[in-house]
Amino acid sequence: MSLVAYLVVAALLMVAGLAMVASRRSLIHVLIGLELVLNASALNFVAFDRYSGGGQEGQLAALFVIVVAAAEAALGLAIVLHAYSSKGSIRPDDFRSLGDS
Amino acid sequence: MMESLPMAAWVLAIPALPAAAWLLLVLGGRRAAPAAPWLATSAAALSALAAWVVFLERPWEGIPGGIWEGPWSWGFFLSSGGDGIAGLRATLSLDAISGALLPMVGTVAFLVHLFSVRYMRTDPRPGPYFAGLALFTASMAGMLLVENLLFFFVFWELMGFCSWLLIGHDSLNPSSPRPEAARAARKAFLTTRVGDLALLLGMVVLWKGFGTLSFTELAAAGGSAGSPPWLLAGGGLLLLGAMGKSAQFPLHVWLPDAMEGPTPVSAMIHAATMVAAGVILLVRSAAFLPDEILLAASVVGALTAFFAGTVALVSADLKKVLAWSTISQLGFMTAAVGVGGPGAALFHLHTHGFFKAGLFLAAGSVILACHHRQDLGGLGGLRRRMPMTWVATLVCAAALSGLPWLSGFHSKEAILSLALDGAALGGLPALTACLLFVAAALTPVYMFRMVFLTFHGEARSTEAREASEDSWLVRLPLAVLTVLAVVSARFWLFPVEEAPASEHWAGVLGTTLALGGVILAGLLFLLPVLSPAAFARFFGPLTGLARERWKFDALYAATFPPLFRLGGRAVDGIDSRLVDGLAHGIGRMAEAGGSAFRKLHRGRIQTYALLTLAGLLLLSVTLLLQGEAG
Repeated sequence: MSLVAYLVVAALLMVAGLAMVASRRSLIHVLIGLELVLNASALNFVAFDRYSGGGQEGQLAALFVIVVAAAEAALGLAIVLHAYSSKGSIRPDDFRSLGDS
Repeated sequence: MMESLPMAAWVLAIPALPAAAWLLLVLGGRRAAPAAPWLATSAAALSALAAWVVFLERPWEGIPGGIWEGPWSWGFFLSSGGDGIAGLRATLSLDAISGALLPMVGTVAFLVHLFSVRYMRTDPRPGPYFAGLALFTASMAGMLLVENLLFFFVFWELMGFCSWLLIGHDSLNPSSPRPEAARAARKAFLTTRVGDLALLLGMVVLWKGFGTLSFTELAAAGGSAGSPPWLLAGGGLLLLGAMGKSAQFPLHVWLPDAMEGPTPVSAMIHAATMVAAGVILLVRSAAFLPDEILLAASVVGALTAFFAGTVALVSADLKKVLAWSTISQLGFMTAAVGVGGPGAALFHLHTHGFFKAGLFLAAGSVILACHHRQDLGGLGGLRRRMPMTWVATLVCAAALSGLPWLSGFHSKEAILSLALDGAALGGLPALTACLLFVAAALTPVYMFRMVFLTFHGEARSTEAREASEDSWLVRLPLAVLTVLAVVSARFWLFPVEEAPASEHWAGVLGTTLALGGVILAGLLFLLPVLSPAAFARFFGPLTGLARERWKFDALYAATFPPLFRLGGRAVDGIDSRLVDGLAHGIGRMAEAGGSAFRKLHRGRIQTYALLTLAGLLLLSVTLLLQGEAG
């Protein structure tokens, strides 16, 4: 298995996550997309760590990404919950009060 | 150099002392006001004394070139070499012209100061008044003591500024402000400004052509230059500048209005300073002016002398008669330069300075005694009540009319004989001579009309009946100027051009005309032999024309304001259409761009995310390509 294989998988994960963020009709799905993006980057860290030889900085960074992802998920879910209780909807298109008209 | 230092101190004192008095008065402000009259007067007295010392020493004689130079000089643009640009150096220099005129300027200025001490005693603003008078004196002396047209122009402008200050002095009187004075001051300033602009342009032309603005170098270069078009243009502009300053037709309109200033100021402007500047400029540049310009100067001068004389004949105001007579006499001087007699012009400037100052101070004495009554209709019979003033006016008027043995006779005869000499050429020179002789015949008529209406006959108002002559401060200047009006031709040292062929005839003709004029004035206004009204009717529409000052003021009022308004509207159009349009256009462009980009901001989070993604993609691709290229 070469580095490129890992990177291809990570890139696919990243694109899938971004596509979800941009297109899904539910905030929950958007959050899941974000998780995918984060995990793609974590996969990159681990892969580069493995192939650059020596040192555990990449693995540390991956652990760090997992912690950030957990925090993000907690915060994101809280926001979604609040959004649902105030608007009765979790469709992203229903939250546009910052837009121009 | 060592032995010239005391002389340099005397010469420097002439302009420096009044300038120092001005500085003290300006810095002292309100606190210096009580000391102002005597401070300025003593500075003027010492300055006059220095002028006489210099006059008697004559340091310029025996020096090659005839110019004495002080040990100091100041180069313009020092960076271009130690001594500055050659031809633009300020030096303290004294030649026969300045040496001959400085005693007249200093004496008249001092006497005007002395007279002002009494005349302005009740004035609430003595500080600014005497400061202005001192600066005026300093500027005139400074103008005579520089040898370079550029610095000449600096003092020339300073005098314009001083005359604006002093003519408008009464407009700021806190108890009774006079807006007419402010209007007259503005008119004087703006009218002379037309000439000043011409002079400035003329200086640029001369600098371009000759590469120097030093009078000596200009005179040396001008003789061989012939008269190419640029020299014609430059000379014409110079003449226009002199016409503005010396109140020559058609830029004369400011001088009669300048009578709104206090009377001693009029004496200062008409005799010693301001209007003399134009004549001095012409005299100093006569050596390099082309013949065509000199011919124009003679025609302009003669026309002015004639037409101002006719207006003086019908003026109803004591000071206005004197103002128009000044314009007429300045016409004589301008014409004198034109007919090849700069020396004669200076000679007349010198004698005229004394007797015109005497006439104005006498008028001031009358105005003081009659509580600011100055219309000829309300005066009369002042001869017994004001003997000193009467004698002074009589002698000065006789000198101005050119009666024999008085100073004015010699100077006017010099001009008339030169004009008569030129008349043999026919054409315009002959016209010049004719006009000058007619003007010389008009002079005694209007002067003695003024004398007879003011001092003889019955008093025609209560003010005139109760008038009485003032203190020695008024009488002393009058007495001194009366004596000088008689003898001033004796201490004139600048060579006056001679016209041996016509000297005799000009003298005889001039004297006859002067005597005839006095007799005519006597018959009209002293003895009830001829009726002035019938006389006025005889000349019919001409009288009306003269009363309306030949309609110049009406003409200017009818043409220039609409022209300026038109120009203003054009400029306003350019400003509001082009300049504002440009600014507004740029603003509108930004606005349009803004509203175009607004369309992107719809508040859809996912659209934003997509756009961010696209931006990120673009950035990465660019960096990637750059990396490959590098």
